[in-house]
Amino acid sequence: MSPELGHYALVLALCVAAAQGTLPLLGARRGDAGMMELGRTAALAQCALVALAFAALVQAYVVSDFSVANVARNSHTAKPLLYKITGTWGNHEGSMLLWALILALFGAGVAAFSGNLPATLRARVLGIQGLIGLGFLAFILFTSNPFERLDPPPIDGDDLNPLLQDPGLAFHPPLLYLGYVGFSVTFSFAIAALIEGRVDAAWARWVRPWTLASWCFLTLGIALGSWWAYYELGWGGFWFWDPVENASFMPWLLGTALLHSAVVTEKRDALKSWTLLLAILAFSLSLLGTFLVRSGVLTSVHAFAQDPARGMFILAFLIVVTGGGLTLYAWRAPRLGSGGLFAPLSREGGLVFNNLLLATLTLTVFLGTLYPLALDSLGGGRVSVGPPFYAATFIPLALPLLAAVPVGPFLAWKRGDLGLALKQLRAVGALALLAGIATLFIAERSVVLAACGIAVAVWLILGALRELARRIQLFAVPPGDSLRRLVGLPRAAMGMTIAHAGLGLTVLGITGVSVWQTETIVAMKPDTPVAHAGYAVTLEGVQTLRGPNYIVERGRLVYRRDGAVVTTLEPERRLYTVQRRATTEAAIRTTVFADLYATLGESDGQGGWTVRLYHNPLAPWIWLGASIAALGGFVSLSDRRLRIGAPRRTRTAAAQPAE
Amino acid sequence: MSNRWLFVLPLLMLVIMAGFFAYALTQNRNPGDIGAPLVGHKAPVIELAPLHEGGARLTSSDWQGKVTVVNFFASWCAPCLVEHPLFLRLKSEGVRLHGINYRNKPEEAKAWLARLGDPYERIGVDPEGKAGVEFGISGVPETLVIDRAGIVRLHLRRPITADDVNGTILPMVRELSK
Repeated sequence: MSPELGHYALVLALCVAAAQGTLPLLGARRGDAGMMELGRTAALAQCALVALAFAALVQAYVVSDFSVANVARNSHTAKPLLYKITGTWGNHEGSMLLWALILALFGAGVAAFSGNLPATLRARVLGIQGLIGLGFLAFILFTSNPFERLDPPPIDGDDLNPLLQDPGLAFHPPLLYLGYVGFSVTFSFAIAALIEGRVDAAWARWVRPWTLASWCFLTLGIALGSWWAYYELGWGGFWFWDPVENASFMPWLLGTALLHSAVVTEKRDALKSWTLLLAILAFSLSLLGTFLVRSGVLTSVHAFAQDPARGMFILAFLIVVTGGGLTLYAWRAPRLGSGGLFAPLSREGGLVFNNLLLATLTLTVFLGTLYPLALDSLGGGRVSVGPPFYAATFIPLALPLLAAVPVGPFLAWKRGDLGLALKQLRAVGALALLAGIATLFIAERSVVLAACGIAVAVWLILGALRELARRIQLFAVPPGDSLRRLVGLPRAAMGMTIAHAGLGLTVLGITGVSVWQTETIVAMKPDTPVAHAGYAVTLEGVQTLRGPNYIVERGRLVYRRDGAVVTTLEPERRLYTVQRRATTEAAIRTTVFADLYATLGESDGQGGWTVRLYHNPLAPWIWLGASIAALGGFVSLSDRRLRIGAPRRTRTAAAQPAE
Repeated sequence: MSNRWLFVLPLLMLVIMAGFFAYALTQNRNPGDIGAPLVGHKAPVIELAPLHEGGARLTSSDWQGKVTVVNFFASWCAPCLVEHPLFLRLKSEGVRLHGINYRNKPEEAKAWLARLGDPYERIGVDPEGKAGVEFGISGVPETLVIDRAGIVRLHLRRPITADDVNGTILPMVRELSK
């Protein structure tokens, strides 16, 4: 019964979205307050309906209702409850429903928390949200219906892809979607601003919490996905420049650019049309990511739905949304005017530098991701673009960007003094240089790059702290005064410090793993020690055990140093009996300085086992740093100015006349 | 007004990109099939240190003048163990065979070959998989047949079987050696 309820709710949500996507926009044009107000009601109703549909699907999974085709294909009675629930979005249809749910939640969020927005702007934002929702709900209902029934129902289901039966992947998609879909709000705000022909400080401040929240979720989502790949795929790496990873990384890069350019728009009323373009493109890249994952046009480890009809639908949707947005942009943006002027060496100038490099980095990843497809379409043959391309293009662009990060906050608005800024960073620079030089002597490979990475990481972390010290006038005033300043510091400033320091920690981790990783792949015989990264590692047997829906082979690896046992790792190789697929469960021992990482491979049938051992110095800091950066974003989100005292638009800031 | 065109540029880029996507979607291609793009082209230029002390380096000149089979292998790779006897057979048939030891500890590889027999004329070591990237290897084992002019004629992305040896590799080597 409940699947039909869910199906019905979804159809109703589509109708509501159609109303939400048309009437408020029309009302805003005609100045009809009633029609505009409908946007809020519709957004809340759409959210309730999609939530009901989602709950119905979750319920079908929990009770293992195999008369629902989607449940039969992706679940099994023996699966643990957690994975029955998370399996709801571990497949194409359910995952799209989750997307629609989060989209509706954001729409409801705008409806609920936008009391201070002008009625026309709110109506337009909600109208655009409604249109995006309409597209996605139509996509679900017409090409990917999760509520389709099977008759007769099978006795048991096909189970979920075992790689997805993992807590990391249970929460990776929701976080990623919160980020992707959050940019839809920024997009809607940009389109609404283009329709109204008006972008000002007030607009920038209204958009800011949505951009910040999306950025934080996307950061966490990507970090979690990378962490999952690290321990579940068993390759010892954390980032593979896979098209699908890139698909989530591109909106992040551009979203980061947007976060910074919007500051200039908010504080100085400048970079307006650029900020709008970034807002449109950040969401477009989120849609592009969805397209790449769902259409199967690219080779990727994330093989999802490979259905041309679905691919065509999303492509059409991508063209309508992005094409519509960019057409409006080409038409209206030239009239927005340029706003505040600034010298090249200023806070604004620094943020422009940040934006130029972030946009170029996005373009680099974009080209690397799509080049194989373009070349193949032009008959140029099959190629794949791998890490060497990104090492050659991404790193040289990222290094100057990272080097500039601590300097920016020391530059004044309008006209800055670079000499003064660098003078204040003298001690930090000296320490970073020292760390870099020290690295030259201890790095084992890619020596120059290692030195740059370590120096930049130290520069970022200490530079962020130095900026904080300046703000609270540490050592310049009595400690009590500094403490009072620290408490009274705007949360946005605090958030920036935390985020920049987090970025530095991530750079530290990436450098550590890239330069000092030790990889030992061996066919191990039981009780024959193997030397690895200063340890003697012994395989003390492999046990075969049963899990709830899998058979497990668990190796026992004892790490000894100078004869004393340091730790024992128990990597597993699981065979999921229903899907007949094997997964590796890496065993990892994390300390502050390094990860010891081991995976168990195949048996050679003669008592030996393929074992991969990795020693990954500084690896934990990759994800810890990213989480700290996201935390910085959340701290900034709690800033007073975003909660209360929203600015009123003044009449003098009326729309600029057309050229 | 020329700067107005800047505002149209993003839209133009989208149109081009969408064109490629639409084409790719309608071509019914299988992105999982990475094919063997090297076939018909010159084998890449490499120079690898020898596995055995005192052995000769493995370079691109080692497949000039005579049809050569090149095999990527590693001692940690279970399928390599399965196909290994077939390479001993290829050697006994007089085929020139070179090995590239892929991401493997030299002492492990040497012990492995000492135990199973060493069919290779020359073995180059590829500890970081760089030669693997040059050859477009997606894993081990993979095997290539290179003709006298250094052109790759066959690229198998899987362990070879007795059928491969009898039905494909040996006839091909004989044909190309004529």
